[in-house]
Amino acid sequence: MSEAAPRRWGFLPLLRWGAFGGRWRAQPLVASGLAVFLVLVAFAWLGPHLYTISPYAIHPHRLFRPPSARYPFGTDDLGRSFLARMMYGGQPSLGVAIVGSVVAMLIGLGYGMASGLSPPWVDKVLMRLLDALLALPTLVLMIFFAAIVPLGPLSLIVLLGLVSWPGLARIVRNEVLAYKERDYVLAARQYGARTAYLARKHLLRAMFPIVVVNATFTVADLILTLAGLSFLGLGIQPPTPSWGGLLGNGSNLAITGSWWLILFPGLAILLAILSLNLVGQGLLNRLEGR
Amino acid sequence: MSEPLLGLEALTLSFVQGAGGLLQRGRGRFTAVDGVSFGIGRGECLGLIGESGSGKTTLGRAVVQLIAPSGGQIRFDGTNLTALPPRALRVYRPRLQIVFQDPTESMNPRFTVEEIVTEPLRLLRLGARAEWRTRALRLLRQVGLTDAALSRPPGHFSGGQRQRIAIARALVTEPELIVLDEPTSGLDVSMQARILNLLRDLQGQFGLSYLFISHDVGAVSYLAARVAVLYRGVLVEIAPTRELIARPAHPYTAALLGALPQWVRGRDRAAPPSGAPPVSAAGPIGPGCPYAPRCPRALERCRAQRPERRAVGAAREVACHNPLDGAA
Repeated sequence: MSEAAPRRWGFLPLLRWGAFGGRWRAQPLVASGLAVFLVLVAFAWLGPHLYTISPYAIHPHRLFRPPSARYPFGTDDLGRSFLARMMYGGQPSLGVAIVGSVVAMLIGLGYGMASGLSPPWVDKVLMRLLDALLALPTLVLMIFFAAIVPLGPLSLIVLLGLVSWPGLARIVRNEVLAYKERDYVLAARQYGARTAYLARKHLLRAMFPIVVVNATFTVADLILTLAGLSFLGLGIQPPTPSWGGLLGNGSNLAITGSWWLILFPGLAILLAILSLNLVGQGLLNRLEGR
Repeated sequence: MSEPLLGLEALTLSFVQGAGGLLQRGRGRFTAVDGVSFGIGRGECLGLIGESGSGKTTLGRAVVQLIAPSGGQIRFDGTNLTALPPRALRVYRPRLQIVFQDPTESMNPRFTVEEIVTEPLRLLRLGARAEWRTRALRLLRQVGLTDAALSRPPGHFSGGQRQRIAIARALVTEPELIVLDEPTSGLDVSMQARILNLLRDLQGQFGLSYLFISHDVGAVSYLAARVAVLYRGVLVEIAPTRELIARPAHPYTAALLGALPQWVRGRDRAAPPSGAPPVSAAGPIGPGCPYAPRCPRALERCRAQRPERRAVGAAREVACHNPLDGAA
């Protein structure tokens, strides 16, 4: 490419942190939330490399051991290291939620943009359809799907992605309606810009901050939904650990007084959701100029 | 006189009022521009003044084919643009450009200046891709910006600089006519003067024609040799700038000029009585002159019959049954 050619990705710097108009230091909410979440991610994916005891190794003589130097999180009802199970359990809990939220963002973004850019009557039909979808409670829908589809990380990603996009779709659609009357969009139309061009060049970039904010909230939501499903025995299937499953198992064993089987998965879920909500709220505040 | 570069003939723009839902069909139409005719010659600048809501902006947008007119013709270089299919219109788009009133609204904040300035070229498929950047650079220098501007977003610039970017974008397709829709209204006075100077320089350099839309008579008089006055979508007077300011013929023009500070309108003339109601308070236009309800000189005839535009003096036309004496 010659020196004088337009830089195709020259706009990328505009999409980074600058889209939210600030520095990290000015964002204690976002920075602390992100730090906590990254610690959890490191716990789930890097932890097993440092603490190498298998989460599946059964030790019939060491059942229900409270936290100790060898088993920092204690052992469970089969004598397995609870720390190892917590680490491995974080992978599906966080991984499925993150990838599922990406799926949801893509669907929501596509549907919202299509609806906002369609002729008014198509838009109306699409939005009423969305109302119908929003009226269905996610958890009930998931229980229904879980009954027909074999459960695994992949099917859970698809299912969670499929049920959690309508919120974003509506937000994106409303934003598109607001943006498509802007002078710069009108000007581009005047030069013969097609709808696909407007969507790709003008609207997609405008949607970027909204999608990022929504994605953080959706990941938090999905972590909770997934934990709820696992708690009910419909999520990640044993013996693969997941935080929700561990919590459910722990609460069934509460009678044994093994508090660590409830405290640690509960804390992990709480921290993950709290940290992501801090990030989301911080970004949102910034977007709205608060 | 040969045909002007741009000629409007009985241009009418009306819109259906209300959201147009299923049950609201057939509600009233709002006429923003009502049978306006004028011409702009090559290299000429015509001023278009009127208060807010008079239809100036709508008219400007129709000229650059952003809004389809509901009646009349827009002739450009001898061709009636309103009769052309969209594909044929593409040929004319680069020759007609617009600078919008609010540069923050007219530029995508997430575009770089380079993308903003070259977008018309990209969409109209003009020139080789490799040339776009050099063209953008040349124009940015011409409007007084540095090369570093290219990779920055419009948010990094002041209002005056953004308007320069908007001007560069308008120039990039090498247009013959530029509609300037209140290009200086958001700027402070010293910046207004600099932008007006820049526009004048560019006009001389490229032989541009301008349709300069403004409510600021001072700015218009600086750039435009002729001025048209719009009231509620109707062209009430069109005259050489100096004559219009010195001796307005239409009572509305006089009222509009009366709103100017005395040092602009001249010491000798007292401000005409204002105290007129705001535009929105007036009902739908009746059969008579649209200004009749507010006009201090209105006659019985003014309310019954719409005045035709007629020539008064050499280059001056006015649509009034009872014009002020000065012009007659």
